[in-house]
Amino acid sequence: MPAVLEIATLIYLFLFSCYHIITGVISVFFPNFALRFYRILYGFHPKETEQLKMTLRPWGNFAIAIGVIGFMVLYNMDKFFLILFPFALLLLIRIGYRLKLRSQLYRDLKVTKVQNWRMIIIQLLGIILFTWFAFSLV
Amino acid sequence: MAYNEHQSLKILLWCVAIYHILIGLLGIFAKDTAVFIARSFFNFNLTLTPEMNWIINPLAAYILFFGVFMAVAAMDPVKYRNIIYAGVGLFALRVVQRIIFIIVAPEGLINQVDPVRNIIAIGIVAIIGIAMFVMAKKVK
Repeated sequence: MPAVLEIATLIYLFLFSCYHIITGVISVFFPNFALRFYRILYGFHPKETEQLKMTLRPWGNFAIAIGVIGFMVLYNMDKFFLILFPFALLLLIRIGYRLKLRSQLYRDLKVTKVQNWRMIIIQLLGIILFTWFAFSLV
Repeated sequence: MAYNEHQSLKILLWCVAIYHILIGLLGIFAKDTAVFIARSFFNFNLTLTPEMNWIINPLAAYILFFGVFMAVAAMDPVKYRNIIYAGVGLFALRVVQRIIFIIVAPEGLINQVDPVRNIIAIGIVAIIGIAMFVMAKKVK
């Protein structure tokens, strides 16, 4: 694998792990701030927030766990590189529902097409890097 | 003895994995069941608003992949011991989370159930987490 792609994968995995831990922590402990954060990051403008805040908390728990596992992989890539495949699959599912439910996303959460496609491209980049990197080590 | 602990840990991890994978798959592919699952498993009176209909997607995806990671750990608990510890951390957070939910959730969101059932649910999560931690520490 070219060195530049290897570095890009490591940087992506670092950011992926940081993202999950940061969003997880704010979702669990500061759900009001989390809603503001997601408005900036994803362009989400939810109307009903009471249930949403309660649901962000369990989501945050899982996000923290995924972020911690991401750092474990990052610090011991030789041992844990196979974990990159499930990470790629997770990103693929996230792209899947962003595409399948895009009209709902635009209509109900007021996310713009540009914001949606920006996230899809970022996630697609992760899938390519994780899959390529993991296959190069198999 | 070590063999028994190894096997017990694998069985426990597979149970945790299958539970999370099933809940995750239902959340992604059968949203109609979300209200029933939320009420039965999480004591949460869910109303499917457009916002909730959306947030169930990432929640279910992450539950599913947590299950996948537990399945990976079940295949080789020694190699993936650190992932088991991450799972234990998640269980600890969930215990705290459930207690916070009972205290701060608005009346309408908490399913009206026997408080003993709540304590049992918290106890089960705590026991599974402790068992995973103890067994993962011992297994060689």
